[in-house]
Amino acid sequence: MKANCWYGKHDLRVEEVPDPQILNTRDAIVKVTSTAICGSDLHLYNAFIPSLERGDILGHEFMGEVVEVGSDVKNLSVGDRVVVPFPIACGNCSACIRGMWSLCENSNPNAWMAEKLWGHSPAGLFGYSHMMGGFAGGQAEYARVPFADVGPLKIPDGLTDEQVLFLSDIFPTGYMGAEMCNITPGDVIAVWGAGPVGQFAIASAKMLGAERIIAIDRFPYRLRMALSKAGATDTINYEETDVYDALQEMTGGRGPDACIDAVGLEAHTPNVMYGVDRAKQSLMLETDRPLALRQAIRACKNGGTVSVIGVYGGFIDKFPMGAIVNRSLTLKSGQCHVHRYLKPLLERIVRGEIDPSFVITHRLPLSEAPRGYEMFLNKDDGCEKVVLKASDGFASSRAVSAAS
Amino acid sequence: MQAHTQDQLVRGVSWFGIGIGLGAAVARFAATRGSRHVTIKTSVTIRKEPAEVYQFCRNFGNLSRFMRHLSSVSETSNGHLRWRGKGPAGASLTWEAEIVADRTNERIAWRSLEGSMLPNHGSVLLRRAPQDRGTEVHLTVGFEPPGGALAAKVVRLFEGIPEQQLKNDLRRLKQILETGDVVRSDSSIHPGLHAARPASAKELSKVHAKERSQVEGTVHP
Repeated sequence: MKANCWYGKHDLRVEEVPDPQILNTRDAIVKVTSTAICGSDLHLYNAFIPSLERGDILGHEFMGEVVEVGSDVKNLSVGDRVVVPFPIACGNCSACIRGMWSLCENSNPNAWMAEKLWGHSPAGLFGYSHMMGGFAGGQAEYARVPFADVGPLKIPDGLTDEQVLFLSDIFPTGYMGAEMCNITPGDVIAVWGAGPVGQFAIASAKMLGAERIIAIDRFPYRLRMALSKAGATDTINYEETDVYDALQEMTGGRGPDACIDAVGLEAHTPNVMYGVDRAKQSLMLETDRPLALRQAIRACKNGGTVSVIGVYGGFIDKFPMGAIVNRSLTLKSGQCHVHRYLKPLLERIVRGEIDPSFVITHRLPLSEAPRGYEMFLNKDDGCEKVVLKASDGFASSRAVSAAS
Repeated sequence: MQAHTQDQLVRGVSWFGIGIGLGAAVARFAATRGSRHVTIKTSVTIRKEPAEVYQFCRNFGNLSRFMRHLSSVSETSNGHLRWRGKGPAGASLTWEAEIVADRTNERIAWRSLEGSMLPNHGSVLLRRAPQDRGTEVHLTVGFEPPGGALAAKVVRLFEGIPEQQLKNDLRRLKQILETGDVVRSDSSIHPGLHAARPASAKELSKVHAKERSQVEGTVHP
């Protein structure tokens, strides 16, 4: 089959690789119909995430058709159309039982690597480094899905791929970011980053009843999308306006009730701190640049919540702990527990409360994945979200194998 | 530490935070080598009743399913255990041990017989975790390398069984008991470093052959 493989910083190659096989009896093989490039994939593309190997298949947002199931998968049949959540979760361990799916205790065979870095290991993820399990990703014609009896969500007829694909990650991730804000009537929510996750955080904050939602970014086309499609009430272009001052002005000096960081470790600011943090990263004095996070903490109202859904991988410097302690802020975070949100959010799509396809700006065949990454990174041509059509561009090359 | 694991560590996860952990491990290792005694303790919590964990572990044939440095463990006719171990460079060692304590659902302890190539002792202690948190499995393994010409070989073997490896073994035990199997990823099924992509037919037949030999080497009492 063809797959999008990582070979180093800004070096991706769509090449022929062996077809996936069932390795555990709870596996399924999915013929990928649609897959997407995530903002967090850009951290891999920019080589900010450790423990990638040359030849790794990327991609953790994908859906498709079940073509083979392991002997212990009873809930899926060949031919079912499914969306696959990006964290791999067993459904049996204490974390899964508590609904903390992205903390599954069994799904990362390389847990020891993550333990060295973080103390304990989270769940394995598709296509996201060896530290996160060394699982092949979904930017491929076919993907092996472990614990297929637990993760994949069957999609009812009548919904297009583009309406449901983002249930795999960015819609639930944005939703969880808004949910962690415990929104009550009258709340003002500020969202840093109007990328796809930020858009879904905005849309979710609206669904959860926020009074006012302020989108913060530097690209006018992203801010326009936040206003016209996601449901933001106000925008701040941080290259033109001081974010803290603008938020003070918009909230009568209170500050937003909750702040969502949908930016993560490669943040950008127009001031000198960008240069300082960029230099520290290159000197390995810190791995992540927490520019948006620092702003969010500073802007948040006393007693408010800072919800972090942007990806951080390692260590940050100049973390304003004093503001958190002395102003009773609550910091919440987590890789999305996607499994928890699949059904409720699918129901919202079915009821027509949201059509997640609004973020899509580009559709490419899988064979052009490297170009998609480049466009997304450089924000070329108003690029917000790239969907890859896995079955376009070349004839399916997988040998047909009997379902076990 | 096996060459490939070390390689993976250095190449794959060479960020500075990890250097701290590695440095501590090396320091600890240096300290234990001086005395020629190595005691390793590690633990895991499994969401199963102590009885279930006990029964699985008491069936010694199961040990090689999750302990990577063992190719088999079998019970001999006089009630002793015959262990067959795998060294780092394909070296193989066999030794016999006797069960010195066996409290149902609580503790199993063993000690190698006199004259063993790899004098060692150890225990598995099961403790009920608070509330519904399952069973804590506490594994202790002690190695007492003998002097003489054999020592070098033996030291090499147990250098391949550091704390991390036993910790990984316990994690695989947890995977088997909680999910029914050892969890495999595209890279983890290979003995060395391998990209996260499906194995070729040739690579896959190697993996299956290795698993078969593991299972055939297992003797269920």
